[in-house]
Amino acid sequence: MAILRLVVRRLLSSIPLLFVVSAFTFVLVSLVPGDPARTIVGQHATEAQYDDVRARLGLDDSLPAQYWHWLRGVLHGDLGASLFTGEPVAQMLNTRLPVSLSLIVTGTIVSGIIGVSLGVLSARRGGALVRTVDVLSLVGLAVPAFWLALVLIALFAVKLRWLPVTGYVPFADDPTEWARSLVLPVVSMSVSSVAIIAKQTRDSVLDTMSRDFIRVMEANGFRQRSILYRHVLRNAALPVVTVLGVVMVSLLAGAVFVETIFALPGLGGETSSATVQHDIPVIQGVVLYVTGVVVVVNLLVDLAYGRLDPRVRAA
Amino acid sequence: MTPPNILEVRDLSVQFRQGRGTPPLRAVDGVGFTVREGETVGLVGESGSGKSTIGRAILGLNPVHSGEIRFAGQDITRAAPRTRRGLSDRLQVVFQDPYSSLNPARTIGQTLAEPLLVHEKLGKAEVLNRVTAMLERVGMPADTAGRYPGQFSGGQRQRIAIARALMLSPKLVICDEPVSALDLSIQAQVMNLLAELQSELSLSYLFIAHDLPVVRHLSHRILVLYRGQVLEAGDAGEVYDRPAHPYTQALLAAAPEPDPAAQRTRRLARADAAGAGTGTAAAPSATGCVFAHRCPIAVDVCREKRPPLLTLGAGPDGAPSSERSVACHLVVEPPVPSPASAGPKHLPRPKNP
Repeated sequence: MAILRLVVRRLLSSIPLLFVVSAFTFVLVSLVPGDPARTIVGQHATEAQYDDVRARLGLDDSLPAQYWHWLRGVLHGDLGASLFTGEPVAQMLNTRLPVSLSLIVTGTIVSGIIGVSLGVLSARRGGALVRTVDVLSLVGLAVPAFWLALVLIALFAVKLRWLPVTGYVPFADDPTEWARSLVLPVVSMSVSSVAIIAKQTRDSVLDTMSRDFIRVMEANGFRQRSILYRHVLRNAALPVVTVLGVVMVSLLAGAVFVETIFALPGLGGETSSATVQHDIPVIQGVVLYVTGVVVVVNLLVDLAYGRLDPRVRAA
Repeated sequence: MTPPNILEVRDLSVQFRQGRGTPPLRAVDGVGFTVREGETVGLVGESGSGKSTIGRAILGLNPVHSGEIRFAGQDITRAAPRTRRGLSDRLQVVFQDPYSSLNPARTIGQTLAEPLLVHEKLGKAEVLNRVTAMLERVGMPADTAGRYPGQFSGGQRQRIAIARALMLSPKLVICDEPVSALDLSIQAQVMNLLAELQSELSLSYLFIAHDLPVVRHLSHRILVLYRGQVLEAGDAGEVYDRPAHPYTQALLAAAPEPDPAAQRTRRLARADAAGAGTGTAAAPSATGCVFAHRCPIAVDVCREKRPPLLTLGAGPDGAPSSERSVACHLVVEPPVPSPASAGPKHLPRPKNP
């Protein structure tokens, strides 16, 4: 019951957030130089044609009026249509959202599993493994994802031909091909996340193991494995879960580059082209979707926190 | 009749590696002592004196370099975890930091039930009964078991830590600075609780602290440690009232005195003993007395030869001193109590067993 109340409260409180974010984006886009009407009519159009297009798109209205017009549509469940293709934004994004979600969800799971394992291992073993994880973390953080993506394509797709160069196959069509199309993008996105998660996990496991309640158990002859699994990991998980949430959101941002490089039809690729073209309804739609994803991720993190930490549950 | 020894430590040494090229650090260097049943032995010394390391070595948390630790006649110097598990119903520990000594993700009830589940096959109701009874005994409210450590203060958590240590009615509890992290008023409460529990359950304590008055309050006998070596040992009251070793004197002079007049006398005495209690640039001698570089009365022999820990002769009143040992070339008999330092005010102390 308490959990349900938390979920409802958080979803309700995200409504003003969506409002603020969308208004902010609207203003921001209007400040960027460029004119969608000019782009649409082309350079050889007459002034009358240009004015006609501007009027049709509602670009002559004041900024608040334009925003209000868009907002009224959203409240009626209509995200508008692309200024260029005329395709309804909702339909366009609904086909693209699963691609981006596939990327960030698998990216989070993969980097979570590898990062946590590396972190726990290096905390337990120490010595050479610690230094290896340190170096890998540094490299992982320093290597730009887009560069790594190009190197991976050159090696595994072009030279070895193990994996497709670009493109996306929906899960429903062919799960194997879906997975194959995701391998390189997910790997190139996840390297830095693995580094961050491994480091956080190690620090957090070491911190928990330094606590006196662990000393008490060691003095009482508890097995190292049972101390690790039943007591250390549970306590060490809190900061790791926080980092996982942050990583998931940052993967969403990283998806813009990766989707462009691998020609994946996700939200990221759409965002960049819509921004260049000043396609305001599409940009606004993307912002709504992304904000929604962020809200859900944060909610999941908070729920996990509540499961793991009695102090949060009590609050 | 003297009660039998529950703990015997012989010539214990613990070393820590300090990296390549540096000789290992001798955290504990040839320390020996015994704890009898029902007795409290206090280990005092400043940080780095090795007092906590001794406690941790007894608990198997630090590797022992040489020497022997016997618990109830059994050699536990390098006991395997399985042996430790078997010992844990008789040998327990209370640590200093009440905030890190309880698992924040488990209820107090779960934490206290853990030792019971390891050692005794009990039904749920019986476990809960034992947990509630013990919590009540250490002065915690009835609903404590269902709550989490985060909901309690430092003093309450220390009571809970004591309850956990006592769940299996142990014979010996290692108390590693159990009150140092607490407020003064709470310190007194927790110390009184420890004293009450000792007489009720005939417990032995190895009481580790840096604060001589605190140790004096609870202990029957005291060992004064410096750089991993015992400099003075003996009856708690005697060591406290008539410290023989210059280091013990410095340690006592460093403790603040509530009475302003007494504090003034003490400050003067401390000025007299310039150098004692404050580190000087000279490094400790490798072959001489470990305290020589800070000692106000050190002579040449102190810097050249290490004084052995020797038992002193009879006291000034002719009565045999109860095994006062001092490691100092210049101290050969127990000092006569001086009027200035006579009878420092202290709290009543449990009777000798």
